[in-house]
Amino acid sequence: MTSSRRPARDRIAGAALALVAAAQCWALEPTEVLSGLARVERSDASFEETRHIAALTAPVVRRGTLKYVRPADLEMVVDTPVREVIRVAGPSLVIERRGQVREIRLTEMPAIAGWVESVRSTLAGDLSALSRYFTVRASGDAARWQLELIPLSAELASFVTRVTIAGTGAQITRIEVAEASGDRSVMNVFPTVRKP
Amino acid sequence: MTRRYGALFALAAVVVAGGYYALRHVTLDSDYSAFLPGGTTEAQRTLIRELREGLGSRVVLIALDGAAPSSLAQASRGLVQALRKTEDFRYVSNGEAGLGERELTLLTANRYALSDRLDASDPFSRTHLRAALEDRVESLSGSAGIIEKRFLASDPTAETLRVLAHVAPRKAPQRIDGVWFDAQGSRALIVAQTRALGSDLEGQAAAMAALERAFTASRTEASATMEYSSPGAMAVRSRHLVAGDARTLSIASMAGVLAILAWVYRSPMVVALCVLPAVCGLLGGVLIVDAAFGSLHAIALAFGATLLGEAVDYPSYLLTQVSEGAPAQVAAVRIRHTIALAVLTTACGAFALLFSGFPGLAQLGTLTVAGVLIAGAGTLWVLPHVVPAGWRPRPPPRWTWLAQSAVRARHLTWRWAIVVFATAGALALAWRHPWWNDDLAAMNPLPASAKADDARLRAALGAPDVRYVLAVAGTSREDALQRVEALRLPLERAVASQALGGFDLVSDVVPSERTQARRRESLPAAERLRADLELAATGLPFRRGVFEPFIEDVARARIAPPVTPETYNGSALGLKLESLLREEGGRFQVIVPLAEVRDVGALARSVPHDARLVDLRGEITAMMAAYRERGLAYSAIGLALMYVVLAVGLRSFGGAVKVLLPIVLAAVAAAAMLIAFWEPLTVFHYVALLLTVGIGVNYALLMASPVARRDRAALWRTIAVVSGTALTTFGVLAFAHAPVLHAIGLTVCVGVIASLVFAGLVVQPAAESDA
Repeated sequence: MTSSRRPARDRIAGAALALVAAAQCWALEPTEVLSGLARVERSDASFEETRHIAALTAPVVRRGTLKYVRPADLEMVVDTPVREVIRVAGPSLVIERRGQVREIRLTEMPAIAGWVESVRSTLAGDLSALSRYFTVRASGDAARWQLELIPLSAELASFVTRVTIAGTGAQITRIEVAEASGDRSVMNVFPTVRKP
Repeated sequence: MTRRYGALFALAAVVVAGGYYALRHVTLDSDYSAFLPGGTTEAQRTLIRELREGLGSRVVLIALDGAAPSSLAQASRGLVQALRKTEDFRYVSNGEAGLGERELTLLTANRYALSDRLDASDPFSRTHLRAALEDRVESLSGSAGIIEKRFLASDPTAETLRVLAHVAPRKAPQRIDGVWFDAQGSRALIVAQTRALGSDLEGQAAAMAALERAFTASRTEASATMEYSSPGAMAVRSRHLVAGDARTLSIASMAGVLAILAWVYRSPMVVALCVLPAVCGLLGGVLIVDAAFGSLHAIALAFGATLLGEAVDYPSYLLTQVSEGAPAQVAAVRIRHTIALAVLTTACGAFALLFSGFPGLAQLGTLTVAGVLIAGAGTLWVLPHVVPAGWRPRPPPRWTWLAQSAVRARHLTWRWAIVVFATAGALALAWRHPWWNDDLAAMNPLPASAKADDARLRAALGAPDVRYVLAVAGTSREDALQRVEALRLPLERAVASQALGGFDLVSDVVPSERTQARRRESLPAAERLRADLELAATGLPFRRGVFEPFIEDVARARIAPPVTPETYNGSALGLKLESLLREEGGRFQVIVPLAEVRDVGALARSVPHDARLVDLRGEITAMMAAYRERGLAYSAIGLALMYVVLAVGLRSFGGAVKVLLPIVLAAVAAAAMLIAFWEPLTVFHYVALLLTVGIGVNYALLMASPVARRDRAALWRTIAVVSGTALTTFGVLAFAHAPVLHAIGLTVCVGVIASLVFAGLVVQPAAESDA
């Protein structure tokens, strides 16, 4: 099975990138982070998301799994508290929840498209796609990096004011979304070893 | 001699003055619906009015193409801004910001008047509130929560979503960069509505010019192109097309006719004399129609101009009979009876059009009757006195002898048999083809490609032609709206049972006052609502006081003025209301568009009796068929009138039959040939066939006249000249782009040839003593 060799190769690629980056002393460029991610063919992870909502007395905690397959397929399965499957394939977003299926065309909903692309384009390592929605800044070093995404359009900014994505090597570890309403959510991502 | 020319100059001066007056003062109208019948049922009359001046006739569909989507989206925004600044458009939209920020604000603000969930008993009871709050907690845990959170505080019962589910268009075009695009994502789409009515062609033309200017100004890339379509734009284009066709083709046919006349008459003076009666006839006809109808339709004028093709023949009947032994005045005495009958029969044929029910055809009939009478009078009473003394036409060439000797070869009975068999043969060929084209689109003078472009734009915008609608009438707006509200339940059942795909009720946007009052009364007072909310939220993780905006909005809704159509003025919803809710003569009519009707029978059974199910396409087809039948009846009357005129004029019932029958058979054969080889017949073919009968009867009359016995060669020269000019005029017309002109040209050409052959075969000259 060729696929079982991939994570190892990805880890090697990530380590090589970290070495190269460590050798350089100047500030981290977003391309350095993203070019590492761009070599990942697919990734699997579980997540725990904590939503801090002002209207609620307690945060909402969601758990589930994330799957990304190059170039443009993203699947998020929420297991608790309510099962929900979100699939992004190309320009379409499908949400399945309590037996109801809703399809959204991303071209028609710039706000949702921005939110989706913040994750998908980062996983794809596609800086030009990210730059269509956000100004991108990187900090840290190649081993432990952080991307800061600030929305470009007013419409997107009316929902989301900043997305912060942190990672190590070619792996995302944390996605933090600050909303215009003052609410925020933090998603911790844990890579899983995929069954062959 | 001098007096004679003096009279001629006076006449020429009158013609010039009349022509000048006509050019300056006659209003040319080109709204093709003038060629639509008035309609016999209420549904048909509504339909016709809708087609002529309805809001639909003012909607312009615009597509931008030829550049990258992002560039087109930018151009779309620029164009919309530019058009909103002009006076010519009252509404412009490219789908920016979903249903429209304005529409969304209006619907949200009025949600407690609009939501039908409030029709449940005690919609804000503790139980209902508890269920709603549990739903909110759950949806906040979902991925859509980030959006739904926006209305959590002011609308925890989600009435806005409920209202939007009814009001949002089912099939909207996709959006790229926030503006409408077609399904392929290659063309940006815009919808606009002109301030001018669809029938106001000057206003439409001005709006189209403003649109072109705005596009040039807002174009982002040189390669970008704009396409647009609207009934108004189509009418402007069709006027342009018909006018262009009429101009080029009339010059071409005039040149052809003049060439024939010049060759036969060998004198510019005589050619001018030959054309003069027809010109006088046309001019007189135009002025009379303008005086009687207030305007002249472009198609009637174009058609009327072809009258020249027939009227120019009258002088030829006279002039080709001039010979050594018979100067013009003698020839006039011999032929005047024939010419008079020819004029009267054509006038009788056209007379039937006056009662056709199409204002356009009535104009055409008037123009023809007046035109031929004037041209005939000029030929009989003026022309013989002004033909130069000693002038002779070119002697008949040898082939005219051959033609008539070939005809003489067979026995008369055999020749009748040939005529009857030829007609039967043509009918047999046509038998399996569709005979009538009752499609309204066939009436549109635009070529099929322009109509196809329009259909493509419509489909891209998700505005497919609605075929079925429900029409609901009421004595007041309130009465009509209450009746429409009663439709929701049966229509929802029809959707559930698959009989229907969807429907659009104006009462979702403007409920009746009664319903609004009931909903207002069901809203609890602020104190009660606050207390109930607190109890309902027990155990749920909502922060205290989160729902204060909701309590405020409900309190405001309790004293808000009712929603009326005026609430939506200036928004897309206002536009929709205007087109679906109309007041006509004290009655209020509501149209309910139906989508994807799959079972008409079940649908008709399920709706209440006060809602009329209208099949728009069926109504139009029925209307056209009814018109056609009426047209047939009037042509029968026209034929009967012709027969009476002929019987009196020829002083023989049998003689009249012998003249009329071969021509009627020729018209039938021509119609059958058209059906078999070209196209099903429309009302325009029909009128052309009547014209054909008029022309054919002239030929038959000439062949039956005593002069035909006296000089066969002169007879055939006359026939050659008059049929040559007719075929030139109408043959040229057959090349027109406008379907109407093409149909007329083709029909008359086929009809003239059939008439010539049939009449030539069976019509016998009368004895000399009859003259």
